[in-house]
Amino acid sequence: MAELTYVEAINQAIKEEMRRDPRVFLMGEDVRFGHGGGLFGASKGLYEEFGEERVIDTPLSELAISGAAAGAALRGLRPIAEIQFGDFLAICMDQIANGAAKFRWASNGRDGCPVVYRAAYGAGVGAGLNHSQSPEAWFMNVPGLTMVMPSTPSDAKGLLKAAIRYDDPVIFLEHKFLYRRLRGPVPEEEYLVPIGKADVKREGDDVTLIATGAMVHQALAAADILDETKGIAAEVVDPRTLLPLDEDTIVASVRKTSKAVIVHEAPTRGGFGAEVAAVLAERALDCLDAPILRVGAPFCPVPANRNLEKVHYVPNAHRIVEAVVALFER
Amino acid sequence: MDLPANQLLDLYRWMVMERLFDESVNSLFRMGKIMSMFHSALGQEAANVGAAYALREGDACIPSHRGKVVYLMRGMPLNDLMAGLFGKREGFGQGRIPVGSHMCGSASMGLLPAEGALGGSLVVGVGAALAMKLRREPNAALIFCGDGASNRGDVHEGMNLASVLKVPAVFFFVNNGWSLSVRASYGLSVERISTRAAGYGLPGVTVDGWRVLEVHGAVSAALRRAREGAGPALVEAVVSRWSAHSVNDPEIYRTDDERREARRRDPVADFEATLVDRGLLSGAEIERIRTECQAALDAGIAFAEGCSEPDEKCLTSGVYGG
Repeated sequence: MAELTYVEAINQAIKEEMRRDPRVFLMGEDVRFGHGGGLFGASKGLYEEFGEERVIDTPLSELAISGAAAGAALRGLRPIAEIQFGDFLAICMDQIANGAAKFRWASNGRDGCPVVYRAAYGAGVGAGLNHSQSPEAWFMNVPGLTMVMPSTPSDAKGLLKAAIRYDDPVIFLEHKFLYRRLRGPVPEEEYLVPIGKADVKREGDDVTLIATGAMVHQALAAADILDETKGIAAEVVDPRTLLPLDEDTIVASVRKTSKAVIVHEAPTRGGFGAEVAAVLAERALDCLDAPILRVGAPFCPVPANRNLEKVHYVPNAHRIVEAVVALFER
Repeated sequence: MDLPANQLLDLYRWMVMERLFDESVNSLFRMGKIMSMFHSALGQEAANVGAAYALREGDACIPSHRGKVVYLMRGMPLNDLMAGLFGKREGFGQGRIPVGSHMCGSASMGLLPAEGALGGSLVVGVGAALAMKLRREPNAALIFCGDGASNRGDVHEGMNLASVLKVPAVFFFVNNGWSLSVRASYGLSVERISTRAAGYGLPGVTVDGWRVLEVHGAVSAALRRAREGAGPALVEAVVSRWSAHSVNDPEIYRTDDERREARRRDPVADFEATLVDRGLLSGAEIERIRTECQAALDAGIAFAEGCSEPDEKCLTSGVYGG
């Protein structure tokens, strides 16, 4: 196993898929030279290796990037569109939700649109309210769309390679706080992580923590604290693919533990966690012995002040511990 | 008139087909046979046919919502199209989509889906043209757009990106003077859409959209240039909209005088007279062509009448592949 950062793993995935398949190309803003290959370095070295036809800098035009990538996909290529910040997916919403995600269904299931929309999302770096959001809930209600949110370097690499080979549009959300801060083992050999499969990141019998993206690490830290201070064994389930959701893995875990806390970085109201809670209410209510709780951001925009952001906005292990303890002290 | 006689007659036949198709479907809609929306192309036959006739095998096209004949010209069987308009299971779209209006694409026919937010698909066409360029295909994309949609943000972004990347795309703006109820003279910041081309570093021309050969010549030249690698271009065809925006539109916003003025020139009759003058068409041949087109339409309508209603499986299948 190699030790790679999250962004290095993403860079490797793109590089390997571009070497494997000449139909794969990357387009986006600043992907050639910005900060040494993409604003966060995800496309480092790609322009040098694959040239200007396969690593395409675009004008500031998220509508055009998102729509043109879909058009190129309909015409037989496998575009990776880099949307610099997840917040800017709002600009692309029409092209993705009204276009790319519906093309297959509209053509009687024939014409898939194999495009990957990669976007850096998430808070924690003081980037403020237009460069820090977690936009997954905006897209949860779009049939035809697939949405992936990896939490580790190895998942990021294996899922991105699978997304590039996937025959329908994928929104691939990369957490910007993890890019260079998170390092982890990545297999040396070729591998894919299947889309649509959740992963149990830690096993436990007492409570299920369903956590996404960077929050997986807060949930794992909370599980350590719960184990050491309260003797509570928490199971951490990482859905990895948010849409379509691997309901079975989540339901199976909650059937075992009888308690569920859902953790994500976006505000709880109307968030991804609401969907998970609804699934649990429909499929596992009979085995729950406590309410389903959600831990997320308050219902306000992401603050720029680092202290406000870190202490009061982004959920952390202590807030997760508090939620779990509340379940046990009822 | 540099086209051979058989191609001139081809153009004429398609224009007649468009005219009769629209007249038939208009009355079918009033009879409650058409499941979704219908936007008539009456008065725009020369623009639609002249432009679409410039396409070649392998080219891509995004039609507009106004001009079903373009689908037929790209190879969609009339029965499929008509049954699709009826919303039938055996028709194109299986009752899922407003056929011939929007989201009616077929990769195998070189038809890209026109999105319902008009103009949104222009950037999709730019992407298809980018794919042609990257794959060294000797083809181009012809993208229909209206005067109303010419104001959309993605239309501007798409034309800029196409110019920057020098992709083989031709932007064909059919300016019929109306964006539903809003006059182009009110909604456009310029009189001619073609003048906007300069803002993107593109060549842009305006042609008389009632004259099929003028439209065909301009679009052919732009497509040829694009296929040869010289980059995108813009062609604007000025036409008039004979009918209301759609069959649901009470059209309270224009006067009877304006409606009469819109129908003053008839592109089908004008071209017919030209061909008769040149000795390429006789009264008997006109009658024969009209009869054949109407017979094909009637057969399509009979086919559609005999088709079945889609079921739940048509609704939920094909959302994802695999």
